[in-house]
Amino acid sequence: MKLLALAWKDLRRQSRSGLLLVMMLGAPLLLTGLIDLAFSSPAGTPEIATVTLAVANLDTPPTGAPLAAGHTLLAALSAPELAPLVHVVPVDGADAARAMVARGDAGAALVIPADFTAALLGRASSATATLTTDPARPLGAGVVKDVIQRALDGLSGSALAARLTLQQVAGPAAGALAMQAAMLVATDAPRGASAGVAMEAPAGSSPSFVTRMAAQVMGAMMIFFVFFTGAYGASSLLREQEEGTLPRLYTTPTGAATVLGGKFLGTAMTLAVQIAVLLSVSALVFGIRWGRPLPLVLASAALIIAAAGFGVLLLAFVRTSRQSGPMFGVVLTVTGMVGGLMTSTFTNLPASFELASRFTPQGWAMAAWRLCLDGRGVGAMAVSLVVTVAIGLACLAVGVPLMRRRFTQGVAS
Amino acid sequence: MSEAIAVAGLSKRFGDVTAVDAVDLEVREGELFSLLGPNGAGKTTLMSMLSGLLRPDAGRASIVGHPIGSVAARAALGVVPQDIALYPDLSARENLSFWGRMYDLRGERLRRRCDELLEVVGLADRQRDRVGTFSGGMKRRLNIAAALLHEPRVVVLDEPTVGIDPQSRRAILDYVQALNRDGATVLYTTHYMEEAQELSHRIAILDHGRVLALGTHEELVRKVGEHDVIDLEIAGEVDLEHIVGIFADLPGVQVDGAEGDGSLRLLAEDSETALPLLFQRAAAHEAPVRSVTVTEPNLESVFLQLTGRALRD
Repeated sequence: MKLLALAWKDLRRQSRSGLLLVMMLGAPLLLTGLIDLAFSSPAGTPEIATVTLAVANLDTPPTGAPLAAGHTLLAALSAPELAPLVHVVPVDGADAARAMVARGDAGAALVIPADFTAALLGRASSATATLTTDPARPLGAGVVKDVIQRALDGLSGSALAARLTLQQVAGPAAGALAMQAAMLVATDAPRGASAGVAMEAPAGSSPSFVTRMAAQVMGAMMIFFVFFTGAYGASSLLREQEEGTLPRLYTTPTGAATVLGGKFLGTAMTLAVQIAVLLSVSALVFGIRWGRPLPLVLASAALIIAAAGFGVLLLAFVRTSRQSGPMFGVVLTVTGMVGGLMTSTFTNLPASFELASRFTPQGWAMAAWRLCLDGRGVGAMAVSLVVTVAIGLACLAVGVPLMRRRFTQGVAS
Repeated sequence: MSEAIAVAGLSKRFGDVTAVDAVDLEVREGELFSLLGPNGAGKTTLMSMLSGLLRPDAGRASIVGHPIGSVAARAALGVVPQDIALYPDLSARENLSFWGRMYDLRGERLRRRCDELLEVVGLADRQRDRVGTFSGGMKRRLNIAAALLHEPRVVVLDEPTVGIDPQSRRAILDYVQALNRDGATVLYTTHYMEEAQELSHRIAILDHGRVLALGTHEELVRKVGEHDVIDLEIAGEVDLEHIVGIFADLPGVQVDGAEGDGSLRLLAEDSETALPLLFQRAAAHEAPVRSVTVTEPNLESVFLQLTGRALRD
């Protein structure tokens, strides 16, 4: 009961701090709102500048082939429905396509390989369509990727047994980054399959590109500010020590473990409320679909453990509450940036960036939330969930003994 | 009468500084006992050890028979810290309610005690307001109330009147006396001599971590003798031997010291009788008195006598 009283007291105090509420709830919602506002028309449809896509169709269908997959893909991308999003410019050769991107004449370049149709029909082992994008225009790249993905989905659906994988690799030109769409075709793909591809602009009842982008931003900002709240919650011990209420607590018949446990529970409860409010409000206001309930709960729990644990660890390195603000600000901003929270919508980041993000708790938390947003199940999220929780627990394992020694030092009980 | 607080050989060092040096004292049940000493005398360190906040380096102490720091000792104690230790962003009632829970109060008893104490400390009409909006005196009163929710057998108050207005100070002193009348044993630390003198059954004078003297006010005054101290200053050219000779044979007066600048300290059995004679003798010998100061024996003079320093130094 004392544990709950301690936790409830902290939750109540934090709910009365205007500055904290702005940081916990206002900032992430505002940032997401700005993104949503910037890219949505009043009617709610996407308003993104049309991206010029240079397409080099090198596809040479085998003799007697029932379809020309490269031509079909090009036609699909040129469909009138997509005109507001993508303006397709056919060019001769891969170099010409990439040169347009390098000059800034196109936002992206797609090179359809010579054996594209053959691979689709099972006459070649695989084919790789290469997408080169302009890193200065990440939003355009995202739109193009989305559109091509749909076209490829249509093609692979036509081929029935086709599977699709996507990977990111470094691009060849002007430091540009490339995305390859590799089509791996099953050996028993039926010959003579039709290749009609129906394309629709990404709108309507399905989550739009803008909504998905808002979800990515919201998820990242939520993680960013949840870590701040975790650190702020941990530093409330410092404030209580300075205000004299912590020593006073130790004069009551309340054990040190209960006092520290109550503080941790209070932080965890505050984080849970923060996450619940952010998820609910963003779902209502921005139409974000956060994924299935169980993965969502697990991702939230993992985030709470990681944020609270990291806060406790950081607390070991500050001496006063005045120090804690700048110190937490610097550490959490840097780790948040390295963790990819500021670049959550970028689709063309180098692999090294992705690797670096995995050295931060925020990076692992973001990985779990991305999967959750994609509607993946617990199994797919298992690794990122486990690592996120493990980082949180490791931080606690280091931080709690330090905290205990520091905040109960000399206490006779 | 049994002991509410028993302290034997209690010591605490911080590096090279001995804050509390082998202190022995006993506070009887129902007693209002003051620890008097200047800042840095070791009062707060002693209080912190009794409250379970600091581990003693040596010695032992108990609260109503329970070793200090034990749950039973802390449950029997109500500690009023020197600085305000309340949550400024919670209301007066929320603060009391929280501290009551820390003392294991629940439900109806908690509500009743909050009501009673808010009434007693005069904050019933401000109970919903946040403590951060209160004046210093109001915070002090609430700070005391938070320690009394569980009706402790022993209350320790560490300089509870520092930095507040006279009206709030009076209210606190009255409340401490009422608390003691209701049966609580009170250990009160202060560096205000008048407070110790007015409140206490017994007083311990503490300096440099040691108890210099302990007893009732009268007992302590008796220790430095029952003389009033008269400090005289003679104007003009002064012949020290002549001046001392003027007053040497006055009845009930003895010369305690003289300086070449005409300053003279006399000890009088009764200053009211001695002063007219003193002025007559000075006038007769053409030794004009520039100033005169009379100090009746009090705790200040006891402290001065014991340490050679003023209490407020």
